Order: sequence, then C-alpha cells, then structure tokens
Amino acid sequence: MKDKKLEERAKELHQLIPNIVARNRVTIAVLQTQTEMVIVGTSERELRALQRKALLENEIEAESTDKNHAEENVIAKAKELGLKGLEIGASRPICLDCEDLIKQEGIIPQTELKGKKSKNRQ
Amino acid sequence: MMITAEEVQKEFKQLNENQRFTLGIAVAERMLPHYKAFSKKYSFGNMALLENAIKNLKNKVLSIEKADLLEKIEEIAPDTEEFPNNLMATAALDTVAIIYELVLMSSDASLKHLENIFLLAINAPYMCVHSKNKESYENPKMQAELLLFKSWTTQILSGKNIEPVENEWIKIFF
Repeated sequence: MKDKKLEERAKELHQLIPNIVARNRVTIAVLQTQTEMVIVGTSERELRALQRKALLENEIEAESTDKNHAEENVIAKAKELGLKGLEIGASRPICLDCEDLIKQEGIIPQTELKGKKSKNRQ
Repeated sequence: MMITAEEVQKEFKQLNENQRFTLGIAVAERMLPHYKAFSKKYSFGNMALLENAIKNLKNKVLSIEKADLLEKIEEIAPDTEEFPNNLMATAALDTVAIIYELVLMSSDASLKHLENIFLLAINAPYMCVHSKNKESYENPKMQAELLLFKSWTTQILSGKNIEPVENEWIKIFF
C-alpha cells in the first residue's frame, strides 16, 4: 500500500482550521524533499496561526503566489531552495494542472488525483 | 501589557449560553462587510442570505430548516483554490464559516463554537499583519482587535449592550 504519511500530515495541519466550511475550501500540501526538509504550503495567502505554530523543526512554509495552488507553491519553494521534491501529499484530491506539474518534476503523489482541472482553470 | 488570543478565549468561559450567542452575533455582524466587499468585487455569492441568516438568528427564528440553511450557507463560501493568495477570499470564507458556526450555536451554544468563531474572526487580521511585517499578535492593530473581543465580553457580562466599533481591517484587506 502506498505510504500516506505526507497526506496524513497535510490533513493534520488542515484539521487545525476551526470550521468544516473553511476546511472544505482550503488546501494544504506537504512536499518531502531529498533532504530532511519538508515544505508546507496552502491555497490561502499563508498558513493560519495555529498551523504555523504546529510546524515541526524540519518543516518550512512555502510562500503563496497569486495563481498557484498549494501543491504548486511547495514545488516552487523547493526549486527556489535548490531542493528536489520526492513525494507530495495534499489535504484534498490533486487537480489536473498540479498533477501535470508533479509528474513533470518527477515527484510521487501520495494523494488521490482528481483527473480534472480546477473550476477557475477550465 | 500584551494580551494573547489564549487570554481572550479564557474570558469566554465566564459567559453563559445566551451571552455566548450574543457575542457570536456581534462578531458575525462585524465580519459581514468583508463578505460584502468580496462579493461585490468578484460578483460572487449571496450577501442577502447571510444578512437574513443573522437577522433571523438574532430573532431566534430560522425561516428554513437548520440543515437546509447550513447547506445554503456552505454553497456560498469561496474556495481559496479559486482565489489563491487572496486575503479578501480568506476574510469572506471566514465570515461564512462564522455564520455557519452561529447557526450550529442556535441549538448548541457550547463554548467550542464561540472559540471557533473567535479564531476565524482573528485569522485574516493575523495573516494581514504577519504577511506585511512578519509580525504576529504583538502588532498594535492586532492587539486592538483582541482587546475589542475582551471588551465586548466584559460588556456582555455586565449586562450592557455591545458597542459596535468600525471594522477598519476592510480598508487594509481590500
């Protein structure tokens, strides 16, 4: 069975959002790099206070950009740091654009793939 | 002296169920302009639904079944994947989430709902000060926000009417 450790971590951080409606509208992504370092990103401008507080010593936050999904943010951060992403997990199924990028970068997704583009990218 | 979010949350324990609900309503009304501004800018959502929900919750009469109302409220929440890196979207989403919590509170005024409302209400201001200056709760504007919650709690406990304070975050977010 595929290791779901990163997806579980993404969901753990995601659960810190204190309401189900808000949770259903936010994505958290977690990227394991070839080093100990793990990159955490969000679909929001940045992580919420409780999420940031819960980051472990080896976890760093990816900055968000205007067009990026959480998955794209963590991959961009890895590149910026000159790190190679190995595996990625997300708190909800990964959209087609992110899936393409993940494959292009040779990263293994631990999360179900949606197989569809996001609404705003159709 | 600096006040923390945890200290404000502790104050909520003194409130009885009705008082918790009163505070929740005041917070929802303070947040509503966020949704209004977002809704107007992106032609998104349904402002009237949220306004009516608050009005009906205040009068303790829901016009439709609670489950239906919760469903309708959830439908008009913006998805942050469609508005990435957008603080307005987060503020609007948190507003919807607060009103959702209020509806839940109408039949179960447990402290957890009020704590959720509080955390949702201070989230966008926190992101705002943090992303600008990498500051946190020590930022003066953030401190003022926390003190407002403390002051409202005190006003409710002493049986006074809550004094609304203009929501200046909108000018910063938008």
